[in-house]
Amino acid sequence: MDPHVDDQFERQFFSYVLDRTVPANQVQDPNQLQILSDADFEWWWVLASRTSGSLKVMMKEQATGRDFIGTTASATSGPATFNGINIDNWAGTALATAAFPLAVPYIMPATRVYTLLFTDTSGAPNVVEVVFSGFKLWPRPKL
Amino acid sequence: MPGARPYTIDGVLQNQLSNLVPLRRTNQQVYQLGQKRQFGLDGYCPMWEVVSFQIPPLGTKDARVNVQRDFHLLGMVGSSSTVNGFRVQLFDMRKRRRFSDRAFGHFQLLGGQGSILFLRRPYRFDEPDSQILVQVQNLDNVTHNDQIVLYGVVLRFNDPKPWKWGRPGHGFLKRFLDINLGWPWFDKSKGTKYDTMREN
Repeated sequence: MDPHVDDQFERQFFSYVLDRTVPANQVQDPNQLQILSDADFEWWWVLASRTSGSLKVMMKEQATGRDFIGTTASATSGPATFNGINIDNWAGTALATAAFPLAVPYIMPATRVYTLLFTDTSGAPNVVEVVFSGFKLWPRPKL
Repeated sequence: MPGARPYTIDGVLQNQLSNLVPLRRTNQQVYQLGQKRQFGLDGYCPMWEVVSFQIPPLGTKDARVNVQRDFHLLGMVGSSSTVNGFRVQLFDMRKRRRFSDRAFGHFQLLGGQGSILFLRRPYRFDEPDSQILVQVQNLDNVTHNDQIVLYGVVLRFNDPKPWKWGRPGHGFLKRFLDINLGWPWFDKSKGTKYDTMREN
């Protein structure tokens, strides 16, 4: 195989799933997702299903403190508190466009913890399922 | 790209914006999924820059987004609390460029909910302290709650390969050495950052 393309990893399709019933009008409800310790995960797609689209989401990486979803725009342009991105703007839904492709994959290291913070504005419990789809990276033994 | 537009006639004026549009399956052929390297952006981190607006009836608002280091805009999506939506115009403040001739409906520029508009090529905000100015205009007689999302990738602060070609502050020296010393792994036939990433 072309050494410029081959990175010595076997890729196994895999999905991490986060299920949560967000209580009505909950603000920044924290939910944690940990990558399994056996292999790094190459994140390619994100999908979600929800009861109501009136739901916002933020995503943080614990080890680095990185915010994947952020705003630096002036607070005067919108609500004073930033609670994240509308979930339908972030993830593909099963009803609409299926998976949202990241286009540039992101490596989630093994055992790393990611926090998703949900904010419900629908006024009713919101049943959410978020799926991170991609590949487990299995190191290929050197011959 | 050879053969991308087989019916183009020489000497006939062509709208340059048409090059942004893939020939088939608009949202699916923009990026080549499954390729390990996308435009030399491997190792970059996904980032959703979100701008939320609450616009009074027929009002206008603007916001400035301070993007992180080496932000590459890949796609845009927006949503509105009403059917008519809003008009939007985007500017690259650092380079003094605008993204459209005039403001127009967000459905055309941003794509609707669940159907992000991917750029055919990433737009790079490589200047330090780059800013995106977002201007929106409410088209209704009622107050809107709107959201604009700029999806892209940023250079990680814990970049695993800071010496890599194309990284801010490092690329120039490496390129200078490669060109002048003729190191064997430098292929002079290749051009920009987007097609010469051959590390490892």
